[in-house]
Amino acid sequence: MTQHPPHPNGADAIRVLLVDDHSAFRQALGLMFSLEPDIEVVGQARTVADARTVIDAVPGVDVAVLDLDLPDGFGLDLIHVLQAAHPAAQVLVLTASAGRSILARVVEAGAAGMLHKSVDIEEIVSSVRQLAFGSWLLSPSELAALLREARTEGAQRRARTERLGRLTPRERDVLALLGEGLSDKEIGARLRIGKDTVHTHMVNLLGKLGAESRLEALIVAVRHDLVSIDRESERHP
Amino acid sequence: MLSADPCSQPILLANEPLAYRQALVRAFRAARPHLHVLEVAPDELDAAVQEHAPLLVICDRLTQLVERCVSAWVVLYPDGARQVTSSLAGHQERADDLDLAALLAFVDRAGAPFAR
Repeated sequence: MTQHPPHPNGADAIRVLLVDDHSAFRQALGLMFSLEPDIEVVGQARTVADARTVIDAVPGVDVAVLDLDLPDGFGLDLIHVLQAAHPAAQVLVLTASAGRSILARVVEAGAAGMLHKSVDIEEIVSSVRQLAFGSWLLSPSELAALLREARTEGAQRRARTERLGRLTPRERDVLALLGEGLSDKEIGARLRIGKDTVHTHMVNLLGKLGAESRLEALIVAVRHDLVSIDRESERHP
Repeated sequence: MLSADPCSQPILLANEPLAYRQALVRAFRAARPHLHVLEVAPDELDAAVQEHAPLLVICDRLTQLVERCVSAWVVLYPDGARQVTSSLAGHQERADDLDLAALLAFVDRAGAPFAR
């Protein structure tokens, strides 16, 4: 059996909290961790609400393994709750989402690392050990670059949100109907206004959104849930 | 149905993502050490079904061969959705989640005729 050094928390084992809505996986991962001599699963939760209860109830957490997409909220929202209750706790995000912008948001929220669910299970175990012993999963330069990206993206997001806030209710209606694929004439018929009026609203809303085209305006609107183009969005990142 | 020696019929796990599959394989081996548990990549599922005639298949995408030839299967979290569909001897059930104890109970029911 592999010998592991005593954990700096003074406990016999690394205390792990698991938060994932896929119970069969989470509990299998928990069982697997419990077979490791130096790891103890102190709590599990399926939802953000359950996790808040567990975080309050457990005496200590060294590493929390968090999924992002939970039935009642976003896993990242738990980080400040966790770190308020257990300041030394490290967070490893385990997600089916990929991409550098997600990683930047994860790091900005205070997580120490992110792994995709397609990784080998051994990588999850070794990452938990690394984090528990104070090692980083990201290099300082990578971390700095990600934080810069998160800051830039955050500023852009805020600017877009501010621009969307300038739209009048009628301009929002026009944008929503544009998202349904309607022409100016059809939008006019639906809203009982003339085609020229639709055109005026369109020009105004493009200007307010800083969009060069209707497509660009639509993309901005979709990103901010002003327009839905996919009703089957019950997917897991 | 494919025929094979029931005592050697495995449980095939072919679900994505990889971490799910590997965690379940380890959990099954720990909780049901008498069972023959095989891990295969999803694109090798049909070939593995033909070779091993499994008692049970766990996957995230059902193939026609599995649906037609395997009496017990579970489609677990297809495309990451909160959805589980199980089928045992033609009786299907759907849920938005399944805990490990329920999955193991399903495995026990699927393997009950041949339990050693």
